[in-house]
Amino acid sequence: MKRIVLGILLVLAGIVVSFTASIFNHSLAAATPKITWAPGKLSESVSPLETKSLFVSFTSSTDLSDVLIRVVPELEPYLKTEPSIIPTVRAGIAISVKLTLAAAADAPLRIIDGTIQLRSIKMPTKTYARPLPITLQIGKKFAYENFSFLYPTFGRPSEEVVKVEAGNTKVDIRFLSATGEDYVSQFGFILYQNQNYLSLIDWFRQNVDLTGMLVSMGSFSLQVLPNGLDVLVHSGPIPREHLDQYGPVADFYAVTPDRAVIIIMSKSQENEFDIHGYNPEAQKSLLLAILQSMQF
Amino acid sequence: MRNNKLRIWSAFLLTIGLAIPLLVWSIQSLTQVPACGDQLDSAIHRGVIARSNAEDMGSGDSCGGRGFYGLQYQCVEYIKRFYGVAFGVESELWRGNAVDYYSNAEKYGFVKYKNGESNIPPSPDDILVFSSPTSVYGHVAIVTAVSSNTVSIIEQNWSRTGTANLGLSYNNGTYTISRRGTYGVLGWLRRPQIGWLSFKEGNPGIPGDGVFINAADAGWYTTFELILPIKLSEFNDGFTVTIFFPPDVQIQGLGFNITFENINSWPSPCWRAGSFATSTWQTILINGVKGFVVNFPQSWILDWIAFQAQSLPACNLKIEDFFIVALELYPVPYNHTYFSTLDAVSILPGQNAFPSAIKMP
Repeated sequence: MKRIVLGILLVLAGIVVSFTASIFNHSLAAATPKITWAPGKLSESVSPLETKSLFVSFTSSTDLSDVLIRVVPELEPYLKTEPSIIPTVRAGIAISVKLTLAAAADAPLRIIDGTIQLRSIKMPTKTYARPLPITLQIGKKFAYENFSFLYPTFGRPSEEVVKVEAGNTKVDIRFLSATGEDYVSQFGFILYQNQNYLSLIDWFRQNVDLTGMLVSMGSFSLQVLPNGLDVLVHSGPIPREHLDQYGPVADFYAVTPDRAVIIIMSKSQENEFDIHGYNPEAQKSLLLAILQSMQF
Repeated sequence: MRNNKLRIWSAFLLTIGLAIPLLVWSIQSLTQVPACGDQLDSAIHRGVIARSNAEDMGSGDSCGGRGFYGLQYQCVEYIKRFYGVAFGVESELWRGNAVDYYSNAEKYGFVKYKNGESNIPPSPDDILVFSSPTSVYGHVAIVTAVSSNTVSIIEQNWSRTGTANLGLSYNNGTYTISRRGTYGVLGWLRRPQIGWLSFKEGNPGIPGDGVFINAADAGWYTTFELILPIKLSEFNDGFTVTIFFPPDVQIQGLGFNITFENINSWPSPCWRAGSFATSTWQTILINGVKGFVVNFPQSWILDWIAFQAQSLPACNLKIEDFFIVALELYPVPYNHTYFSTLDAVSILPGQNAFPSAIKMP
């Protein structure tokens, strides 16, 4: 008997709890403000070592208090807002928010999709609809035909010089010099048609490593990048026997996942990466990051 | 007997003990790369040493970091240092990778000769430009000697000796330098003898070489702008200008201005431009080509500077601030025709001064 009474009481308690929750939810939904951002979405880029600022604004359909401006974790390393907390938001009044974009020297070159959200400090897990969608590109995008990659400009104006010679495409990336008079070559590459779809090692052996010493003696080592590129990275001294016979080599040789294109990449002979604080190891990482951002 | 055996064994062990380190040292010295910045073997031309890129030899890395002439010790650094040190050219301002020097030749006052197509052979001090389908930026070297079948070069970031010999052949009236490994020679670049000028309108070369340049347009006079402005402070006895025209240009009388300005003050209230104008000249014959010679005495320079300094006392104008930047030509008497084509021009310090290698009549 006691068990039956206890069961009935539990069922009743459940009904009461559900009913209360549904009323509470209904009242919350009725009070949910509509947020409108201007502009409605944002697409920006920032290069390693670059900082830039811009303003966006939002309006709310209802009065709000203690509003938290939250940047999603993916964007957080590159995006700061000012203010980050707004005590009072009046309905229909635009609130301006300053966004500061910055990327560290070692920031990976990539494209990040994220949002800036408005939340109540009292209920920090709830987001007011709708957030501001942001596409942030770390680095400048270069696109040519069906090929693209990202590269850092260090906040300097840049130009891309493309030449097509004997069916191969040559790209040279240049930054405006510190004196502002001319553009200085920084790095470049050749997109070389891999006619016979050779593996990277085989192509390298037939076209560059003609003595067979470069790989066997550790002058170059093979890496596979997350974007599917196989890359031979210059990683040790060039043997004298090879150098005397065949001459200087490039920094990287890569092949696209479909083996259609060989990419030969080098730092320029007048690059200014050192001026931007990159030592030789960091330069190698940077160029690998550029290769890693390549898409075909 | 026992003592003898002991002696033989001792001598044998001593010999082995000495020979092995000696052998190791010899092998090391043959294969070891000179330290970063050290001279490559005996690689030197006109007193300019080719230096080692050490363990980075043959790669895009530069063991010596950034120097006055660029990344040390890339191949490009050597040719810039060579022209800067040996010829006093402001080559630290040159831009570009090795392979760009061929396409930018005129910009830096060089005349280029295409490998396999030129009837002019390479010559000492020329820049040799290499390219390769598997090299992004190519290679450059300086020619040190030329024989009937060999071109000798000095270079950085390739051979560990800093020197090499390349084959040279002459067929059907043209010169060809042979391939080197995966690299081919695009051509050779020659800077006209010092004293001969290059203009933004082109490089006219030397008198009688068959190379002329045209000004882009002509007003009531024709302007030719220097690629490398000349400091007025380089002169202490004035200077001599010699102008050569193509043979078909009929000269009745010649008027011209030497234009100079304090280029580093542009744009500011202290910027000033001026010119020395004259239509008094004498003629000479060089390489069978008639030249018009005008002497500009030092007093003209000093008087003009003094006048400007007096007019603009706040600017503290000095002779060091001013550069010759252009040449303006017009016919005398003026007859609505233009001297828009040039064969060669020289400007040299002193009065009646002509490029030294030219045989004077």
